[in-house]
Amino acid sequence: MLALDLQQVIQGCVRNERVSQERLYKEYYVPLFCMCRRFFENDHEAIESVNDGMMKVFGHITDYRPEKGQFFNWVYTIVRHTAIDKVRASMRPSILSGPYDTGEGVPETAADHNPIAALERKDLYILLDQLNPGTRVICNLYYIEGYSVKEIAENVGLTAGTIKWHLSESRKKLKSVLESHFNR
Amino acid sequence: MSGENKHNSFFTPEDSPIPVPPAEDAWSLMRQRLDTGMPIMKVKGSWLRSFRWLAPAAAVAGVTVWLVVYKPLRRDTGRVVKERVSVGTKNSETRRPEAGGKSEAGAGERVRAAGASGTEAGEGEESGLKPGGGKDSVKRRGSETVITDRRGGGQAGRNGVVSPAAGATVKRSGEGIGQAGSTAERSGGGIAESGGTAERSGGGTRISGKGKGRQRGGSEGSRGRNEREHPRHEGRAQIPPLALIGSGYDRSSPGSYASLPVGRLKTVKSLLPGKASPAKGGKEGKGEQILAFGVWDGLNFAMDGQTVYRYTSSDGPDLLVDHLPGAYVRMYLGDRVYIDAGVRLYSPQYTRFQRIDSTGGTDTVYSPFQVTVKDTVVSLEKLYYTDIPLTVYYRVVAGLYLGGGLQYSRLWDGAAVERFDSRPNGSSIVGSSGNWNLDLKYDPGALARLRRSDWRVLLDVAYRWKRVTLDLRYQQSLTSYVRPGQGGSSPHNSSLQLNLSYDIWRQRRKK
Repeated sequence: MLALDLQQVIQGCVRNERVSQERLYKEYYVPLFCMCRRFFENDHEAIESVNDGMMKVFGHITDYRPEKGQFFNWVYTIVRHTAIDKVRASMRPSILSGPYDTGEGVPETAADHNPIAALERKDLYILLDQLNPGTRVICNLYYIEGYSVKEIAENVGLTAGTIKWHLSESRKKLKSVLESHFNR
Repeated sequence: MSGENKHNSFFTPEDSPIPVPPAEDAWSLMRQRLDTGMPIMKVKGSWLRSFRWLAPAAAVAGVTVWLVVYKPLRRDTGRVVKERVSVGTKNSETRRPEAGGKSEAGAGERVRAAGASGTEAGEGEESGLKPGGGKDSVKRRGSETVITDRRGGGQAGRNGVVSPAAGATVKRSGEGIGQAGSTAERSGGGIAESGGTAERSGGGTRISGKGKGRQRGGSEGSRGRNEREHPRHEGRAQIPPLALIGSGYDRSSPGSYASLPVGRLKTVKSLLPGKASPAKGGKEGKGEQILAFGVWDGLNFAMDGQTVYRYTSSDGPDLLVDHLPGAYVRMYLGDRVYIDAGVRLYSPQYTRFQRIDSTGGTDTVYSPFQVTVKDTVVSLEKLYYTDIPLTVYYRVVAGLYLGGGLQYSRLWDGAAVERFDSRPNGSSIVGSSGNWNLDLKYDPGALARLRRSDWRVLLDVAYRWKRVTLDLRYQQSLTSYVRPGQGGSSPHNSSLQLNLSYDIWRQRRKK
């Protein structure tokens, strides 16, 4: 979408015009769905999460300030937070809370050594499907979304140790997948 | 946030690593939520679009009112006749003028109006010759005359309305008619003076005169079976050419028929022995028409490679076909020439499918694996103008006019389609593409490439029938609707329109 078009579409969304809302929604639907799909196991929940987020986008679109960043990033962040909230609300604490509150060897961020970054895109989803829901969310946030352990802890409401334990668990379970990938 | 720009962006389903459900399905769910959570209260500019509905609705309503309410009351003389039937009698109105006596006031005015060469005999009986006590009153309202008939029993000459126009001679017979030494005869006069009884029935008036005398004149509504003449009250007067005669009721029972329904009033020129020529300026004799105001609507036909698109600029479907509502004022310059000036809001103008804007490779979509470039093309489909035409018409034969003029059109909006093609950076292979209907109002860049003002030449053939005019109009723009220097061709607007107009209000020159 052209910058000029985007501005017009945003103005149309401010006026609550369905045409503009539809255009914006369809323009960003695919990346938002792919992002949400990493949080959830099925398409229906992912679409629901996208729609929840886009409702917030349309409802607060007047709050968007171009000087603070690109519009897509703003939308993406809102939908992502919505998905995280949805995950947190729908999951039992026992799923997210691991038996061990330790996580030695896990760096604060995955920026320096992120094994998942080298995977093919489709492998990301195959990898995530191997994990249980709680570990899947944290692995997604840490390795794919780029959150730090501290940020994940703040967003999900767990301690940093629990986050690191989930990350260790994900590495153990995905070891075979990663090894097969790197040995290819 | 550290992960702000590290998200994966797959803007097309083809780029997605996983199967993506159709966007239409997801949008339908989204739209349901929007309709619930953020309902549309009011669409800006809807009043303008609703005008397109109001204009034909007003025209239909006007024609309906005219046909149902106004036209039945209107007569050839242009008078409005209202009838009120009173069951009871008013004895106070039973005074009968004697021959040569004074007429009643209301009808007397009309007698005086008839005026020139004589006094219409019997006009005085309009309120006076009602043995049963009826009363007719005549009122003038400008050019209209309202006759209120309060019938009593056994009257004669009621409903006799004569126009004050130039006169023919009419004989009326009836009691107490002879006036002012004139020789007026009136048929259907009702009760004979000399003890006769008058009857009216059916579509006409039947008079059974038992007394002596003879009734003459006769219209379809008043011709008696037994005509007789009143020697005492016979007079001759100049009677206006047109008359309204009541009929359709039965007077077989004098004195009690007052409650019977009153039949339609008929215009009976045949009542008159001699026909007077209608007043100059039309058969209605009301003077020459000088001004008219009305509404028109019409259809636009595509021509010269234009394509018809049946949706509005705001991407909504047009429930009606594109039509051209508007209002006009007409000024008549004599019998043959008139000038027509009007305005049409939101008038659609079909165009050729033409590229008016394009942008290539400026919109990049980042993803961790590739950069996608989008090419966008905006193609024009339809334009919306506000038209102000000025046309001069000349009558070539009765009812048929040829016209020519000039029209100023102001570009208001437009409908276009925007097509985008996504391709990997450095590649010419299109990965995905799509179309959007675009309202040019929200694309100032594309709208700026179009001329806002447009002058057009008009040629028109019109056929007028009473208040309705049907015309076929051809328009040709003098300039291109694309601004100069934009490259490409320089197309001109042109259209063929079929219009139907209706005079809501007319003004005539007073005689």
